[in-house]
Amino acid sequence: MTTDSLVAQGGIALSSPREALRSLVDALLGAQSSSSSRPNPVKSIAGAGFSLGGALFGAVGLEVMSAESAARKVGRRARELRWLQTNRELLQRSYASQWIVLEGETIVAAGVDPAAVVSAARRSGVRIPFVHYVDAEPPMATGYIGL
Amino acid sequence: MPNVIYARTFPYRQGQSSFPGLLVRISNPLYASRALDIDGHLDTGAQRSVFDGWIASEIGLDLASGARFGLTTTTGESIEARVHDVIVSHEALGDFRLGIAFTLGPIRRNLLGRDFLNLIQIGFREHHEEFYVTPSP
Repeated sequence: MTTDSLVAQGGIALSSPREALRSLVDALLGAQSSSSSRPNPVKSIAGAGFSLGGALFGAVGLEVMSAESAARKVGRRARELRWLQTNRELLQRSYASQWIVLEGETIVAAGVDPAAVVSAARRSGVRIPFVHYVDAEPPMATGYIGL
Repeated sequence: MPNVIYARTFPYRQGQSSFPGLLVRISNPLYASRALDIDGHLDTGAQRSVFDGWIASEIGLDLASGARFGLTTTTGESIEARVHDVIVSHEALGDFRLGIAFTLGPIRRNLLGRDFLNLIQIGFREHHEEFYVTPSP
């Protein structure tokens, strides 16, 4: 049984996984502290060899979640991601080529030096900063490859 | 032909251009509280995951103490990095211990490469700007 089927059984009418994701994000915006830590154990040890990671994951199998836990999991940084999506013009106008730390719908620090930005955010009380780089509008049609 | 049933769907992230990426939490394996959330660009052409060196320092790692590792870009440019084990976590996919190459100089974007893709099953549907993941390789 997949996550989506479980979510559907939980009472939310869904026609596609994408709609499921969006519905959950919409339903949960603001419902979770974005800085909360998570006690999940590490499931995979890649440093000791890729095959080990695969073996452990194979033992764990598909992650099966209830509707409640699926919804909770989708919530991390949902507010921030939606805010980034809906405020792209503001970001371009005021923060192009800068790093920002976003907490909820508030930019708590910004600047060209990411380490300084993160430090400022921590000083202001953010325990785990969400740091995002605002790409500047390129002067011509530009494609991105790799680094 | 194998059939794969994926557990999760992710839309491409929207920036200057859309890209397949995951917002991941990078944390120090010894001090979980030393962590930050940042975008990782999924890059099937990257042999290894590559993150900017300032991130290693920010989560309390001594960047210079990691194993030396060289990166070569498509233009032939060489970038020096240091490898450190960190925890890369995603709320829906789980936690992964990964030896990430942290660059000594600045880079524009952080890459989740084939070492990360090796730990999951992923499918891209570029035309729909979506990708699908099952947290099992």
